[in-house]
Amino acid sequence: MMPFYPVAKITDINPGERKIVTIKTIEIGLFNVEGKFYAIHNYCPHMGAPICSGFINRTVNSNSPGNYIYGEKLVIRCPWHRWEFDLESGECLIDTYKRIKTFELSIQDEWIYCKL
Amino acid sequence: MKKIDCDVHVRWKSTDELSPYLSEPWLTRLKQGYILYGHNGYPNPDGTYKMDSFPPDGASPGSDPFYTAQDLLDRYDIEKAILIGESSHLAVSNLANADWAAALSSAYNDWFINRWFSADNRYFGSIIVATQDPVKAAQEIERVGNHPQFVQVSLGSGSRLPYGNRYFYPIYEAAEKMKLPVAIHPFTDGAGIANPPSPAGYPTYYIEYHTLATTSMQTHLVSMICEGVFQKFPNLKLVLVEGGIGWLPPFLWRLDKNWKGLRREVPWVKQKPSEIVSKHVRLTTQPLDEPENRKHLHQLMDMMPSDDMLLFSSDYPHWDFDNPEKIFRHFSEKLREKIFYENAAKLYGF
Ligand code: FES
Repeated sequence: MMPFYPVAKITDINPGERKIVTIKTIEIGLFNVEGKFYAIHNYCPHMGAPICSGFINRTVNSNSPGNYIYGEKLVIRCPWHRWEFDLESGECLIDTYKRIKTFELSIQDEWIYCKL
Repeated sequence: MKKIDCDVHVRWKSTDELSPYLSEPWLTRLKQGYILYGHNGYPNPDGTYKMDSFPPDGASPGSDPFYTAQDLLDRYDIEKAILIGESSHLAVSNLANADWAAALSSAYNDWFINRWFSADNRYFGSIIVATQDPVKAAQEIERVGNHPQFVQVSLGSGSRLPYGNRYFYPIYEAAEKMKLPVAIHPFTDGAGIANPPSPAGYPTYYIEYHTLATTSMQTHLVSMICEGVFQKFPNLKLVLVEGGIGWLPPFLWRLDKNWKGLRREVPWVKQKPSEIVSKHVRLTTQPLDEPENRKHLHQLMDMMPSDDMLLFSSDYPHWDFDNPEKIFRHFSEKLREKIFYENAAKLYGF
């Protein structure tokens, strides 16, 4: 069984905010987005950017030129080259072979625990 | 591995930094918020910066010499950085008023010396000139060209004429005299009084504008070769900054082929264009082409006129930054040394 580590109190990360924590030399970004907490490795598989300083956006898609479909998925976009990764699965939207590592979280007694 | 970064962008925290270098009537204009550069209509929708490059005080990325030194030079073991300003500095050449543009370009050069060169001796820079008046531009090159930390003259790609035209001779004459290469940097196409950003007119999106940066590089390069700039100024060197590298080999195949049959039209072009390029032209590597098949990058290197052509650049602090620790990892040690250091050291006389 992989252990869960206490990483932050839920009150440490307000809605829309983020916090970077280090567990055993691994930098992990914790995000509080739209009522849910997410945890991802702070490393972009493209050129190694600290991805957790990127943008949290919803996707913009389309089914014809000039038409915009906003908001289907929640993504983190790299602070460097702006590649998009599904915040839930860590998958890169345009290349599913590339993904950021995501971590399972559990919340108990006001504390966020992260599974390594 | 030692590195020279040949494209680093810097700016001011506030335009007040320029005040000491402007006299009247221009100082009043600066204070009144007068136009500083010709704008192009193609901003990156998410901003131009890599988002982790903001200094701790929240000022613009690239506006703090000490923070840039730490965040770029120290972190990536960069021995020397060639500063280019921002495309907005280069776009002084796209202002309608030639005298304001010349005053502003001189202020930028004094600002480089006092704000950047004196802060860290790893910074080197590019003299900004306003091309509206090439004679004044030449005087500016001679005014500051002896400063040991100015190592080239820089021009934006946005222009009303391709750069081979004789109109620009005074600039090349001064650059050659001062032993300074001339660099062309993109992203001023279509700005202010410059021609549209593509020969076919105005694209709609930033992705198009950014991708098409290669086209004005090609236009200026073919112009400088065919109009005989390198015959007229045989010691002049040209650096194409941030304009891509992958297009060069097939472009030269086409130009060499045309030259074989059409050289009577341009009889001063006495060598194959690819030989002229090999001798006089260098290209910076960022944004590096990223073919899916890594072998294609090796093949591209094989197709280049020589191993001396490429100069590493990161483009710090912009969004399309190339991380020196991640690029060229599959190239031979010798080629990496050339790209990261030796080619630039030779060009700039370090
Ligand atoms: S380093 Fe993240 S997209 Fe390039």
